[in-house]
Amino acid sequence: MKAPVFESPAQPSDATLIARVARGERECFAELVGRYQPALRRVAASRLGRRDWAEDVVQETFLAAFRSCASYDPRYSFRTWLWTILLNQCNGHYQRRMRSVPLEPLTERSERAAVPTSLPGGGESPLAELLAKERAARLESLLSELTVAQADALRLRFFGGLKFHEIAETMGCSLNTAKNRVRLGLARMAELLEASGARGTPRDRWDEEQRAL
Amino acid sequence: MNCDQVFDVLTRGPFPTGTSCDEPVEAHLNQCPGCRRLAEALRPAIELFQEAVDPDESRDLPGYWSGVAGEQQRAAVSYARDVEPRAAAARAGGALGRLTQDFSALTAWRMAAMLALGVTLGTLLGARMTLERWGWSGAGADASVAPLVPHEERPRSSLAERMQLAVLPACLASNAQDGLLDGSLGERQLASVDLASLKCCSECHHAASDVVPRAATARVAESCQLCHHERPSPRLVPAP
Repeated sequence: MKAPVFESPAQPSDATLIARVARGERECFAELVGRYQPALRRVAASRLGRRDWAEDVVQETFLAAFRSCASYDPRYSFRTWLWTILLNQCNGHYQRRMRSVPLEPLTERSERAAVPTSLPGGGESPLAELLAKERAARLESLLSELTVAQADALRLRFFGGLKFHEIAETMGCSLNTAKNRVRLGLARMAELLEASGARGTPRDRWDEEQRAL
Repeated sequence: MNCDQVFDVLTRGPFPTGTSCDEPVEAHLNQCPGCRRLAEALRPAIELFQEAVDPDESRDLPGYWSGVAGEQQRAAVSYARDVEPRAAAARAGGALGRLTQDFSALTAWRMAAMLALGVTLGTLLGARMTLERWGWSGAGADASVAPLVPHEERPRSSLAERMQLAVLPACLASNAQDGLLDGSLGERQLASVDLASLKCCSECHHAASDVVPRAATARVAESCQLCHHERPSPRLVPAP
């Protein structure tokens, strides 16, 4: 297991990179994009229910960050700043789409968002891919049962890898509230999982069926 | 390691990690029934999340695998709170948009009931905010605790008084883990420990806690007046 280090010459910190971008070294922004794009895309897809919308929102997020880098205040954490922009973009994008596009049924929305952004590479069996997709769809279905705040907090924690104080800063709430949103969200998901059946995860069902053969 | 740190580890990535970081967490789980129950209860949901993220991808998330003791210095200012207040308005607008998606008579009655409930809660919240301006400080999850008596003014009540309220061994263990109490003290020695040196009960015992049962929290509320001027808010400690 490796812990990312962002203070070595080979791995400059976010603040260093954004400062360089502000000085005209635009190629440094590509490094930031590479660091955050997968996580941003994953959260946006989960939030909006559609990967194509997520791609748009992530692009808009980076564009907004790039435009504002000259005025970026180093007092703020770049991470929380970027995530705040993403959540705002998601809210705005969702509202615009709601006014123009009929809402998809929840199951279809879950499946659209549920395709993993990093599909298994060569060597993964179709079954593994199917199980992954089914797990992801189940997760999205459960997230849709939570409050928006709880679901966002969970997405930021697990998909974005944010620490609790970063979640609090991104969502504009207290540290305790951020922790409780995650805790209560997980508890509610656990209740729903338990209520949905004792057959466990898709992998459990597959194992069970294999043993029965 | 305290309950908060354990919760941070359990929701940070797959556990156990197979490193030396696992030992203090497992030790805490062995000693803290509340955390152990919480870990078991949340495990299905946590595993669902971790299965959705490729392990290599999660390790590359900036800061995701940071150590418990190596917390980065947090920003002095919250961008969301201070610069982007419209985020909250945008979320409220999104919720309103979803409410109007499918309008029927039943939905109308539900909306009316929700509106009435909202007005009532808003009135109560306004009253709470007034109380806060009169000196009540917040603690725990969306709760208020009566102002803390200054340390030098606190009654020199001993742990015996708190022990009379059937303090669980987990509470003593929790204080010992935080270095506030010598875990090897005998019962007679514990009785002479200065109550003011221990952490506030509301850190674990509060209305929103899903770790401590309501009955246990209500029992502990009686001890609050040993350190606080008044009884805590009902939102912190529910009625038994």
